[in-house]
Amino acid sequence: MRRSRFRLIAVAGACVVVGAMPTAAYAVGALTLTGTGGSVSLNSAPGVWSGSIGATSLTMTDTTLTTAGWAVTATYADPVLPTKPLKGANVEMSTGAVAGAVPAANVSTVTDAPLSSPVTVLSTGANTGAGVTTAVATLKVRIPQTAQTGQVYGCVVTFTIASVR
Amino acid sequence: MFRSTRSRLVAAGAVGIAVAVTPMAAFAGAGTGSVTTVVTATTVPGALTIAGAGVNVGVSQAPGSWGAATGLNTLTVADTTGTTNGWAVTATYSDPVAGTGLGGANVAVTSANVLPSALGGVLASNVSTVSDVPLTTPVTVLTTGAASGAGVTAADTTLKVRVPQTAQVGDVFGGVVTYTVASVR
Repeated sequence: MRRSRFRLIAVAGACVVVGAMPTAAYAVGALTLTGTGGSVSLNSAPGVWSGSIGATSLTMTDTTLTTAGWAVTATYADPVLPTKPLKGANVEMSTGAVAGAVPAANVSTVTDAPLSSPVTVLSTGANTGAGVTTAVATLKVRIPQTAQTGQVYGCVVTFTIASVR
Repeated sequence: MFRSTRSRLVAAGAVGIAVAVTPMAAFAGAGTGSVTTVVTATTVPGALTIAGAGVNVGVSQAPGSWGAATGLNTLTVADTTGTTNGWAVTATYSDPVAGTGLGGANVAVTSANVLPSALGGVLASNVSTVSDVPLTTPVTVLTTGAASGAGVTAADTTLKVRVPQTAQVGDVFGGVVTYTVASVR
C-alpha cells in the first residue's frame, strides 16, 4: 500500500517535471527579423517622386515550430534634427523578391504604399511562416513641393515583425 | 485497492503526457529584431511650369455685344524651383491660323478660384487676379508679385468675346489665347 502510494507520487512528480520542462527542451526558436538596413542619400527637386532607393534586404526567421504566420510592418519616423521631416505621405514603400521557406505566392507585398501610418509590407497572412524567408524593401521619397534649394529632408523607416495567428 | 492505485497511476501518467504534448502554438509570440533605413534627401532646383487642358469653344452672338463667360481653363502653376521667387501668368491674344481675328480688344479675360495644392501652394490671398480685362496687349492674369510662389497652385480663367459690331450675319471670327508663366523676382 505504502509502496503503491510512493509510486503514485513518483509518477505524478515525473509528470509535473515533464510538464514544467523549459520550452527550450523542445527546440522552440523565435520569430526574428534581420536585415542590412543602412543609410541612403539623394538629391531631388521639390514635389517629384524619386526612383526606388534604399533597397533593404529583410530576413524573416520563424523557428517557433508553429503554423502561425508573420507580418512585417514598416513605420515612418521623423529624422534627427536639424534634418527636416519628409512626413509619411512623402515616403512610399514597395516590397518584393520574396524567396526562401515561404513561397512567394504565400506572401503579400505592397507597391508604393505611403507611410502616412504603419504599413504591413510583407505578410504570410494565415499561411505558415515557418522557416527562413527573405525579401527586399525599397523606398521612394518626395521632397515637399514648397522646399527651398539646399534644404535637407529625411526620415527613418523601421521594419518590425510580429506573429499572425 | 491495488487496482485503484494502478488506475490512478495510469491517470496521472496520461495527464503528464497530455501536458507534455500540448501544441507549441501556445508558445508563439511577438517577433524580435528590427531593421532601420535612414533617408537623407537634399533639395535641388526644380522647374516653374504651367499646365492646363486648354479648351476649344464656339459661340454665336450678335455684333457689338459681349458674350457670357466662356472658355473656362483650369491652370496649374507648379513652382518647384526651390526659391522664394514669385510667378506671374500672362494671357496673350493672337489671331487664329485661319479666318478673321476678333482682335484683342474684343476678347476680355477674367481669372479667379485660386486654390493651393493640399501638399503646398500659394494662398488665394497672395495671388492677384483680373476681371474682364481686354487682351489688347498681353495681360498678367495671375501673379504672386514678390511673394513666394513655391508649390502647386491652381486657378481658373475665363473669356468673354465680342463680335465686331460691323460684322455680317454668318461671319466667323476667332482668336487664340495663350497662357504662359514666368518668374517674378
